[in-house]
Amino acid sequence: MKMFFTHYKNWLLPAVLILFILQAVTFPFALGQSWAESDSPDYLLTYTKGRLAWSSGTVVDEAGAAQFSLFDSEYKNANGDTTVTSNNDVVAPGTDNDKMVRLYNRVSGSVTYKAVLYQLQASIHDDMEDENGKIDMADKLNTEMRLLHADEGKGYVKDDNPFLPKGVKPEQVIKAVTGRLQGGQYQDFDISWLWKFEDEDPDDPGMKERNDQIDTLLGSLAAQAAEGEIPNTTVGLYIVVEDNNSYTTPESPATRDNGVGTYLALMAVCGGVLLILQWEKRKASKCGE
Amino acid sequence: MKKNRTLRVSALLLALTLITTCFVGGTFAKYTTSASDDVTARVAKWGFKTTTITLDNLFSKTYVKTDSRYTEGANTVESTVNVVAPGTEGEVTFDFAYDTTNNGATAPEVAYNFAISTDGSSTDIGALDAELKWSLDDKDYDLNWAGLLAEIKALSGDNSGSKNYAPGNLPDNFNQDSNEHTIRWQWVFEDTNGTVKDNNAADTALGNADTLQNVTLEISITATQVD
Repeated sequence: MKMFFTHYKNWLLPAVLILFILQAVTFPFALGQSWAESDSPDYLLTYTKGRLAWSSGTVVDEAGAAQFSLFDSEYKNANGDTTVTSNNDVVAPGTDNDKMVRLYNRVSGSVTYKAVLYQLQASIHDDMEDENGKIDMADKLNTEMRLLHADEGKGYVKDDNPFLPKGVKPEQVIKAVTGRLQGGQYQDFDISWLWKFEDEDPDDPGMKERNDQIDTLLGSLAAQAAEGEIPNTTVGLYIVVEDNNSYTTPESPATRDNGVGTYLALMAVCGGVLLILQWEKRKASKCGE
Repeated sequence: MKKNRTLRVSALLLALTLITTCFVGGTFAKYTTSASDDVTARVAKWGFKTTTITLDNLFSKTYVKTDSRYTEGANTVESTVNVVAPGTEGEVTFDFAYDTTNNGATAPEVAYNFAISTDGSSTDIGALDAELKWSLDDKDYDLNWAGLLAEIKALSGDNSGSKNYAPGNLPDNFNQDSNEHTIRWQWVFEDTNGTVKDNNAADTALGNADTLQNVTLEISITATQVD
């Protein structure tokens, strides 16, 4: 081993040093596309040839629909005071949230996408009814989807025939759009919801009181109903990409890391070899003295 | 020579391996499909029961005798309307409950304002104030009319009659341990504490007045979510 290092020391050390520098320089590219911090999406869906994948950590169901964290167990007001707190993700009058999902086309050619936002109401309690009929949670949560950096009619159009995940009915669709993405481009979808604290209409004097009564009814049911009957709602986003007439539905992300750990380990090996070579070189120099 | 060639090949393979790691990056990822629950949120718990505070039993049209020597009838006071008179007394209990049935909710999950108001109650009961003694939640009749109204408002948790509570908390005086409150009043028949029984003149004057004194008590309790 000593003879090996002695014989090859002149070119081995510089070669390993160059390799280590190359690894360090290309490290960001090993992570994938990076975004400016102010423009970073909450969730990233990347299309590569014949494959759609959510970024690590995104939870999806069997149909491939993203189950992102739109709801929370704690909400604060503008003063920073906690106004809602629970052991579960909840919604209440005065609460709201928004998340940005980015669809990134990583291939060189253009692709067509279809995106659908839907809302389900799993619990319909018999008492969830006012004088106008059954109360629909979709009416309480003003859920919306806006396409950022794109104008309707230019960047996207309404999709009259959306792909729907299993179990989702057309009447549960909030918004369905379709558009085209050039190679290397991305489209942002801003998903937001709001449960108005006060919902009133100057042309309808009784609206505020009716909404207060509905809100109070929902809150009381939540406190008094059995666990499986508490009013609740589900929101989901489903995106499909069409490339060369073949459809690819989103896959769940890797359950292991994306190779960053392995990459860093190899950098450590390279760095270790570098140190050993440098140490051998010093040792040889001292012997030479 | 053979040994050196082996070493050279090994070194070259090592170098090639290290070179390819620079361009591999995420290809070590392994994709699997996983099932997961839907992203669901339930409505935050409220839970204050719709409560109607009834004080109807505080006063009465008739009062039962307390002196067994009186044998003319069962009642010593009879009227067609609710009245108060020397020797009479009454009480009423009210509450503002939080429903904890079924799913074990212990407090609202939202911030709220808890307010107790006595608006609509008599602001001045005149000479009657000196005769009627009040108590709230204890047996000592040590409150006058203004004191009673102030104590009732203070049940909100603040002397102003209004207090904000953070999520997860019940009102200070309407919680699981203490939810009911009792108001008592008494018109002493004979003031035996003083050296002179001089309340008789005052009592008589009240009973003979051209315009009889009234006392009205109204209590309103409201819990309202705050944004």
